Amino acid sequence: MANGRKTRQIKRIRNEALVALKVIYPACMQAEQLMRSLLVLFPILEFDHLKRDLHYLCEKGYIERVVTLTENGSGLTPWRRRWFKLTTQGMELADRCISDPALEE
Amino acid sequence: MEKAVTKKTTRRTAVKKRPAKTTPTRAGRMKQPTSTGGETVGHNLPVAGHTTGEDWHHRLANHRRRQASVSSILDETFGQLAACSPDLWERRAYLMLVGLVYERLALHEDEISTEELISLSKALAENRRVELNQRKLRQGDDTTQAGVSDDEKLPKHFADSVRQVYGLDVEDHGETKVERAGKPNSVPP
Repeated sequence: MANGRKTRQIKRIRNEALVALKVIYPACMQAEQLMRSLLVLFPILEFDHLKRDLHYLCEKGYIERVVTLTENGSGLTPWRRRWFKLTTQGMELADRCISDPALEE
Repeated sequence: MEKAVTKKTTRRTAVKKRPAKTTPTRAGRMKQPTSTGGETVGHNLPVAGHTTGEDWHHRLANHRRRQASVSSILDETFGQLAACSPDLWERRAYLMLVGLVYERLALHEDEISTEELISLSKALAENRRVELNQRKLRQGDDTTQAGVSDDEKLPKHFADSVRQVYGLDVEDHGETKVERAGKPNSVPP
């Protein structure tokens, strides 16, 4: 459990984030758009939770942040406006070419 | 444009039950959740807004259908998406548009139903196929110095076939009208 969330739900949210990014691969999506797309399936999802999951997926190497040339200090960009895309590893995971027990239900 | 995105209010749709395992096949095209008739582990746990498992499966299956249609439309509309690296960020508006189109189509079921979306994606795919065929024919005619008038016409029963399958008017007096199907209003429910 993390922040009151159940393990299974955390995995589902992470998986659905990967699926949404997979649809538009190799383009990227803003965290805000991702959040809205996940709200269809997880109506009680909070942005702070998604933020943690995006952090996790970034550190796992499944997604990466795309920093725009117009962003002066990348750390100053609000999280909701940050762009993310699948990495090749994330694509392989979304395609089930590889497996990750941490994301399997 | 970013401001417009962030100012939008989040839409919270009633979700009912827990998801099934899904098998991704390619970008956006996911197999339907598999049957979980014998699944009992954690089956009664409330997830995603106190919903039950079967409703959740149903909801997820519908969402997958919609995602697959959106993926198809994105493919047909934008073609191969450009690699999204900072070096190519001059295409930011283009890539942003992709995300917005995805969000708009995938989430707003009240604006366009999944069935309409599926019809739309099929019509777009059909339209693209017709265009490609016409292009090939034109190229062939260019090489043989032949006219294009007869070759550009659609096959004899094409309009009937498309009307039966998709419920769309495709042909009228030898001219294609598939493009009209791109407008949601022209697609029958």
